[in-house]
Amino acid sequence: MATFQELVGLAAMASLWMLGITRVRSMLWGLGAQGAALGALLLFRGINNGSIGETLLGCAVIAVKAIAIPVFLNWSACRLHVVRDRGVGLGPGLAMLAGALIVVLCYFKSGWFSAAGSVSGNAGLAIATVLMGLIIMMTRRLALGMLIGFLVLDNGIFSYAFTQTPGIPVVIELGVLFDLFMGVLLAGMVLFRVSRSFEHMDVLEMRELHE
Amino acid sequence: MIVALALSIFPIAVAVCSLAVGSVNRLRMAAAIGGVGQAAATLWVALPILRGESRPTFLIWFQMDGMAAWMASVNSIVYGAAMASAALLTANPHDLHLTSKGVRAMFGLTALFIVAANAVVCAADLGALWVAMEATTLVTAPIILLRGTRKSIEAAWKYLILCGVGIAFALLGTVLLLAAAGNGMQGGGSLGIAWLTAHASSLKKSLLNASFVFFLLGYGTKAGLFPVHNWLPDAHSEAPAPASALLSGALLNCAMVALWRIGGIVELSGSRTLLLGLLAPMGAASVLAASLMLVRQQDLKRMWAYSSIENMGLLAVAAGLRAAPIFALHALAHSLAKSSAFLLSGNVLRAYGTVSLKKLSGVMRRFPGLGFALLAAGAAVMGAPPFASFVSEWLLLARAADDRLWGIVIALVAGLALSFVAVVIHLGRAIFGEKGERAENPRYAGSILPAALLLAVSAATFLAVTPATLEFLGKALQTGGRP
Repeated sequence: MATFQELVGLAAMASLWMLGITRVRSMLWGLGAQGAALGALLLFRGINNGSIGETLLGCAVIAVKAIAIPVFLNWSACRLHVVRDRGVGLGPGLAMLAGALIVVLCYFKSGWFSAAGSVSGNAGLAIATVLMGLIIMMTRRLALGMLIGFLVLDNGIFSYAFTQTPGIPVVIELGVLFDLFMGVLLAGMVLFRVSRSFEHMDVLEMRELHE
Repeated sequence: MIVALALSIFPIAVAVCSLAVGSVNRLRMAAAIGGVGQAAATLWVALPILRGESRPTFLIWFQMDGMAAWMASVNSIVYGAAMASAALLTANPHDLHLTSKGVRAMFGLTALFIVAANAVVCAADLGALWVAMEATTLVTAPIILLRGTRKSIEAAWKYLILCGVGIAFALLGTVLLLAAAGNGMQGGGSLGIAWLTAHASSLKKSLLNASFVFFLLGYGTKAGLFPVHNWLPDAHSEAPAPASALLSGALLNCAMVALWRIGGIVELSGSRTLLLGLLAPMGAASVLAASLMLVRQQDLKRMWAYSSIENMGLLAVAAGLRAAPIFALHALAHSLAKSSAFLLSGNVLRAYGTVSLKKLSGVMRRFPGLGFALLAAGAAVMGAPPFASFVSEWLLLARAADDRLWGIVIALVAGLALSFVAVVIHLGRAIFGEKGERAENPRYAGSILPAALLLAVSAATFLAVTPATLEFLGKALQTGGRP
């Protein structure tokens, strides 16, 4: 039976690519591609197995993760006049190198994380996506870049859930997706407030609160 | 169905009122009535469960067992007091630095929050628990934003991103646990807590252990455990006082209940060492770190916030030792004391226009009622008799000593002693100081009834604790069969 789990590799590659770029719009393309790969995994598998719930969930994932969130963030970036994230700490080249190392390590040590019945290597790729999301969060300077890193991390968790588990009940999974979407909208709202009152979105310069 | 209705009808009515009712004054009345109604309705459904008379499932993924009944009661009592106090403090919204739209938003969002918080404690499925927990983050973040100052915006961003990452880790923990459950099982596993408890010994060990670590990091962030506590002091000090009371008295408990339930599964799977080796030490570290940070606080609300971290540490130790009655008792004791402390800080802020400990002095001389209440709240928070936290902290220390966990005992004693001294010095200056600061709005200093009632309940709990009631509590918390 085809499981289409190879799409997880595609999602991992998208985050590796995102590590190496600074243009926000390109990062959003990567995020969208990642969401589309995960949604397609569910959609194809659902159609293949004749499972209505999974097919529906695949459509929801594509709608939210591949379309709604990237479009909303792109709209926000345009309104906020954010084009590039210069980054902090690791530069894009080094970050990408670190990401490649993580992918290789996790791929070969996949057995640590994998559950029975999954294509070998996938658990590692999902965990690598989570870790790369963390690196993106840590190496971006702008609030928007951090948010994108968070979404990559979240996509990694979804990859793990879709390939390693028998499936969370669809209603709950939809709840998770809904919460995530509301969270992004809320974060967008806060971003607008940040840029209005700080006149910048540089996380390092947000120091109003004393320890 | 009746339980679901009882737990949500009042807050939903308040949320609808916050959108529909024209005048802010009527909304205040509605919120106060709704808050008290919520407390009464929750006790009405929870008490029979605690007495072992009934055990309702109210939706597929939600069930009210003993622990849920206890914690939902705590949440709703805090909510009732917070709403009553909020109604008193918003007599003139401009004094609160909020627009009338802001007041509306505060009442509406806190109402939604209490529904989500009660859903968290009642969740019988870890997936549903996660969804409800994330919902609490989403409805509380805008409350922190309400004042609209740069500080509050930064606090809200920090809260959203740190708790977002935390909750993502908890999601990873959830899927890892599901993977551990699905491993080699016929028909796959389930995230139902009852199912996981029943099959605890056949879960795949390595994945279960990994999932516990992520749960600890994830829900630990939400509970404000050291070292993932950074968002807490900012969020608690920037939110309006009634919301701070809810964050500290209800939200933190929700995360601790999640850790408690997961800890139960881990214990049954035979990995007790994880609880004693990770959860309890993390709690003890929180107690110690928070008390060290308490020493140099200059702001009343931030001081209470650090004390919340300390108390969550105590709860984590109780959860690590799997001492159900102590856990429940201390959750109640902390919620009562800390909510009243935050509500009284609201009075101080309204009356003086500041909560800076440098500027406050001689509260007792100017407003004896408020000064005395603050003193009592401080005593209750620090675990001095005659308040419930004295008994729960004492029992926890005794239990840790019984288990011969000397490292934890030493850390707890050192932390509790240090924070006691720090709070006494900070509060003492503010309450008894010589020169009395001029109050801007003296009329707000008098509306302390809700906070005083919480303290009275705490004192009553102190008097009620006997070996017999502890045994009853232990039995009551076991109804439902879920950890």
